[in-house]
Amino acid sequence: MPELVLSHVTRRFSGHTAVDDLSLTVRDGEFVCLLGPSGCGKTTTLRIIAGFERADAGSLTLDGADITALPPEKREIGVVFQSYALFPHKTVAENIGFGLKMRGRSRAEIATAVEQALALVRLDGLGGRYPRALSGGQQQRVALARALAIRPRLLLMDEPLSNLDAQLREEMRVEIRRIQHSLGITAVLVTHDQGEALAMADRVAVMSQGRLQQMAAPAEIYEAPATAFVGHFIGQVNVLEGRLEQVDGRTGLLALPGGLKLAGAGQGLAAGQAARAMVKQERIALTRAEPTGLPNRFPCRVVERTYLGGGIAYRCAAAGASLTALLPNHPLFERFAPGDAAWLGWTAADCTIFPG
Amino acid sequence: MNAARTLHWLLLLPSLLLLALLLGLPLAAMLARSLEPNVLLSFTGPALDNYAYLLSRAYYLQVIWRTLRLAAETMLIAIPLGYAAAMLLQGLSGRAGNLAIMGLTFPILAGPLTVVLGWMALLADGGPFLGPLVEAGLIARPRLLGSEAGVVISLVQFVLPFAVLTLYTGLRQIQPPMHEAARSLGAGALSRFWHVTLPLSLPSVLSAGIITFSLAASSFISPHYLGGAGQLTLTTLVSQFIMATFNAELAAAAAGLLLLLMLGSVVALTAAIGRFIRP
Ligand SMILES: Nc1ncnc2c1ncn2[C@@H]1O[C@H](COP(=O)(O)OP(=O)(O)OP(=O)(O)O)[C@@H](O)[C@H]1O
Ligand SMILES: [Mg+2]
Repeated sequence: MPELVLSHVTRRFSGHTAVDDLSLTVRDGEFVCLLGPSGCGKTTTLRIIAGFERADAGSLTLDGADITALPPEKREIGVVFQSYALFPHKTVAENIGFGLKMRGRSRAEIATAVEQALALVRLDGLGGRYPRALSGGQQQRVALARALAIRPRLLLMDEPLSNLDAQLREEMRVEIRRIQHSLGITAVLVTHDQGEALAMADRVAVMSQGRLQQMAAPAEIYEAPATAFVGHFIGQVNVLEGRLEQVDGRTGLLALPGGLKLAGAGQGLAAGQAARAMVKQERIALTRAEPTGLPNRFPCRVVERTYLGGGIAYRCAAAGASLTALLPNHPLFERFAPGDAAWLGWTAADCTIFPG
Repeated sequence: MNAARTLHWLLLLPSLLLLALLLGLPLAAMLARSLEPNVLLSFTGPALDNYAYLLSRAYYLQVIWRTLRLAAETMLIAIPLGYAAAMLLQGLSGRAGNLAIMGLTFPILAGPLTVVLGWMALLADGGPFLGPLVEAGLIARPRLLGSEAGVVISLVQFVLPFAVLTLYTGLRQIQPPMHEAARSLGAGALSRFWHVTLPLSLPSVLSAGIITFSLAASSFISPHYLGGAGQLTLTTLVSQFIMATFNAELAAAAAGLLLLLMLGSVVALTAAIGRFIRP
């Protein structure tokens, strides 16, 4: 049974459309990440789901019931705010118990639920503290526990990890997934960090300028981008513009202004059309010997070398085109220095062509 | 670290000295005066006889009690009114809000005397408010001029802008996500007010309480023009001692009493409201 359904949801702010005809479904027990660049309408979408923001058009259903006009306090949706929004004048336990108190539960029942929630987020024993006496990571856990304590039908999180340091962020990714999984709760998380979205989500919904670009499993988003935007936005990508010379069904040959001809795959391609090829940096092989097995292979000169720790990025020039190849920092891979001659190569499947 | 702290104090020194000079000296002079003998009382000073004199007469005790009562009544009426206004103000968008704030500050700019003259006209028995009602036989002559109610009405009006602005600033400091968090957890409008807005605004309620109480207790114009001789307060009493009985020493003692009472009230108020401010 589909849990949350948005149909044709639109929200305008004084002429500017923040959410544009957005339709998507979050299934029961699913973890969905809303991903997109700053200002694309992620937060607005989340606020519409929570009920803090009204939709100018379209409707929302939760569990099959229309919630479009339901005020937030009646939606039974848990929200974790980017700033956590813990009540500073209430202790951790009072914060977590607040939702149940509003529901008129007994003191004993609330105490038990608070203990459980604290254990769930591994903060046992901290119930008596005030939020300001907690670290950022602990506040984050309290915010999560507070949202979960009401046993919400849906959990919403707006960039919950953005205020944490890198290591804690990775830890909390796993932690949030563990908790979500153990409760079997349906969840929507907003982020502009694609690593976070790919690592956490069952499905990622990529947004751009208020519109849904693609909603699919992380691997599909990464490997088979549906639009040029997704192809460009996800991963580290080389974009090459040219004109399609030949098209044969879903494969085509793209001629670049400098003379390179790239074999790639795409949809809706037509010969003579201007098009863009996108190749992820780590899908490009950089070798001294000619990679004869690869349909796309070009001699090049290494222009720049960037040491990244886990990998080494080489920017290379080939017939007027500039491409970056990302090689693992591993002894099995050859090393290059700026000025070296080498070969670039990649498969046709790794070369996605988008018209326009 | 220590050098930096010394430097801080050194830099503060000129303004501290100026403050001490402008505020402290007159105060010290006044308090010294209040300890001296005068035309009514002869004693070998400095001693507290002036204070004892004021505190031993039922008439003056009544004045003291009235001063405190007027200030408390003003505060208790102005705070809820100001709170409601501040909440409304918060709901206004930028431009309308700015206009409303300018409107609020206008009585402050106009000065209390101008406004009190207006109240004298309005509250008169034959005035535009009461006149028609009295004439129509709907109400008996209430005589607001010269009554405590009249003084309180004008005092409330006088302190209200200060209360609104203080409370408004306090309310604005509550992060909007606080209210949204409470909503998402199922809190209706009343619960949100009781559990989030009110407790988080208590520091500004305390400030507004101190400001309104102090302004009302130390105000002279309202009790002087609207209360008159029948509604003497400590401030108008001081003025009487100076202007009518030429007793500067008793005037100083009455002023000293007012100061002490206000300090005591501020401490009491802070203790009373401070108990509810967490953590
Ligand atoms: N209350 C508002 N009034 C006017 N415009 C708004 C309002 N809220 C959002 N917007 C606009 O709507 C657009 C989408 O905003 P939103 O906050 O949803 O973006 P976002 O995807 O969450 O971005 P970020 O990653 O920076 O948080 C932005 O252009 C923003 O300026
Ligand atoms: Mg946002």
